[in-house]
Amino acid sequence: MFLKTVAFILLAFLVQRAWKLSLGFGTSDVGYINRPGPCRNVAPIETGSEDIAVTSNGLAFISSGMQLSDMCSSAVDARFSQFVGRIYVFDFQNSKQDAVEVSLPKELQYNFSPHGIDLLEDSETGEILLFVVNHRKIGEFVEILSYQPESRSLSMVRSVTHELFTSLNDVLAIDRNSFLVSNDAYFRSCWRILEPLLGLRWCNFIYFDGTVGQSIIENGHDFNSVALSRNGKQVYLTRPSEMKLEIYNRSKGTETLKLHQSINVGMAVDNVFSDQSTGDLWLGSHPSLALLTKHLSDIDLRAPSQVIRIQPLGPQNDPFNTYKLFSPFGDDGELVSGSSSAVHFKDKLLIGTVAHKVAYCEVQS
Amino acid sequence: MWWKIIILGISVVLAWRILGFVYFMGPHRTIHTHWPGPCRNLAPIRSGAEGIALSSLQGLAFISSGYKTADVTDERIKNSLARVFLFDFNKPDGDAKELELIGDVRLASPHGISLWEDKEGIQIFLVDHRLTEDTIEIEPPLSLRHTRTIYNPLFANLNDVIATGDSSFYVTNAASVRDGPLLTISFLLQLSTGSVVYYDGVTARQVAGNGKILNGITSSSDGRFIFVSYMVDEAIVVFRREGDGSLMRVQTISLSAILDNLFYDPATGDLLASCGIPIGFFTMITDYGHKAPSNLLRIRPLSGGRDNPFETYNIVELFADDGYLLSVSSSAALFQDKLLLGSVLEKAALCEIRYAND
Repeated sequence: MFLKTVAFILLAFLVQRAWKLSLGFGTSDVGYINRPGPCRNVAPIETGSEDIAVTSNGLAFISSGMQLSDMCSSAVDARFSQFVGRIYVFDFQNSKQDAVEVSLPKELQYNFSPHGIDLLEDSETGEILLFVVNHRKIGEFVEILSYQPESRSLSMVRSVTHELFTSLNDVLAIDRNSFLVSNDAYFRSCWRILEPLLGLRWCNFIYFDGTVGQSIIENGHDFNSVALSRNGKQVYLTRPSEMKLEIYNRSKGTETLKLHQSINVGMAVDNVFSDQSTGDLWLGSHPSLALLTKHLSDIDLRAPSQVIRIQPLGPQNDPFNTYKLFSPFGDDGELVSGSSSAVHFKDKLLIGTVAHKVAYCEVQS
Repeated sequence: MWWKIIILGISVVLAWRILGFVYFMGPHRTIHTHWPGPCRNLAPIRSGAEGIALSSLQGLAFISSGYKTADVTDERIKNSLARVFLFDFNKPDGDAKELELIGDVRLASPHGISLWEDKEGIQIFLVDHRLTEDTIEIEPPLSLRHTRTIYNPLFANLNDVIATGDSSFYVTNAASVRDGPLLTISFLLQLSTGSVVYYDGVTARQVAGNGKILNGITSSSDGRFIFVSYMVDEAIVVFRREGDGSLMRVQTISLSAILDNLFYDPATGDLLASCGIPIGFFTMITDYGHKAPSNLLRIRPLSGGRDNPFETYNIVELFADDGYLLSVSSSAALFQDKLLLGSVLEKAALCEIRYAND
């Protein structure tokens, strides 16, 4: 009798997990091609372009070559260990040029597996500070780097690590010394697979004020990408397994976040970009997590890509009170596989991927 | 003891089938808006544009309107007028015009539509759910003169029609019964009772069977190939026409989308498939105001010889809408850089194609 009860509870639990997991897993066997205008790949990027940050002048910084092999090497393609971590720069205002590799400070050479990226522009000096999540062999770091445009190089300003950094994903710069950073899992190793399977909520979202790091949101299971609204009053957070974009009201200074709204996007969202000129949110998304997983285990297998735009239609103090969802770009994986980010600058789109190429599109329709 | 096993076995099969039905309804499918250029609704169409037939020689589109099923409960749909509209692509800023129907016939629930054009003029073939299927002849400029009504016992539950001569055509049956509990069971369990029937001008015979829910049907311009929407299988089946009208299955084009009517573009050889999410349709028949998403896929043949043009192909999503412009799309017609789109129960839209995704 007791055994039957236990078996029944276990079955119910498994069914619930299977249902929740399958919703985001994706049923599209075919990714549809959908272009807003002429698109092309941007040379020479071929080994990933997971995240992209853009200055107000249209200078895009692309993090490339993330070596997923530190994250359960038996589950991913062996070639990931050969990837070289790089930062590329692409100029939207000189879009016919290729992306150019930026040289890294000495401490990061052979020690760079970049993930999420953000930047700060000093309006007076014009200095560009890059904040990059780095999966170093010894642990999770946020590197703060200063860009030298004449030499196209990055110099080290500061390296930050903390015991709360368990599996970093994306970073949001607040000022020269402080930032918000997300953990997408508790384990960095193969144990991380258990987390979505069992519904474990061991992730947190962290505020580092320059000296001290603290959790400002706890008990989550995948905090992925983070961005800031134009007026700094709202923080956007993506939750891929729940196919949602969450909107938090932010108290500047204390950096307390209070969940205000959830927008269901219908597929696994990856990185979010907040367009400062329109207030739109641009999301790199994965129509099929199943195909993405296959692509990561064998890079030659294509994974469909999708870009989603959320247009705010509400009032200034609550912009996403009403909204409209658009899908301006889709691909079957031939042009770009596994789109993780999309940034928009003056009717041009740059789309980055987890382990593949970059696409540049002109928006005509 | 073995009774229990039999009952368990039947329950598992039933549960599997019903799960398949839930999957078919598409609660998990996601469509967000993107248009190929500026789009507008086409006045005065408010009660559906289920099927569109295009004369690509003249740029004239004939639109069937006023479709309804037996289980419609919203009065706005139940009482909608059954009509055929005309839209002239050569005057793209104009509205659609209602065509006057001359003759001793009253339309009830127009469904699929096709046309045959020769030097004698244009003939419209229209599926109407009055137990019958009609052929109607057009006489310019703005009226339809009824010629013939064709009924055959093989016309069980007609969906769409494609004309292949001035009195011959193929029709699709979505199922083998018209309505009632047997139809409901047929849909719930996704039984393969759909078929394709060929009428040669005198007699009718079934040329393809065992389809789950067969929907749209069209042909290539040279008439060599017939394309059929296999809704539940989410695919277009390509058939080659034999001399006697029978069909040879040549290719299955998998779309991963629930498709309705098809349009063959004579200019490029592309196929357009109007798609949607079934649960949207079933919600709309109880609430006319419900907005359900629509999308349009373009299947372009890449390689393949005369005997199988779609051997390889690519799929472009040319249009998608969250339902506010077009709710539950069912049909499309392309003429130069203009795209006409129809919905089962509500409006029609006209879009300009700014970037053709070539």
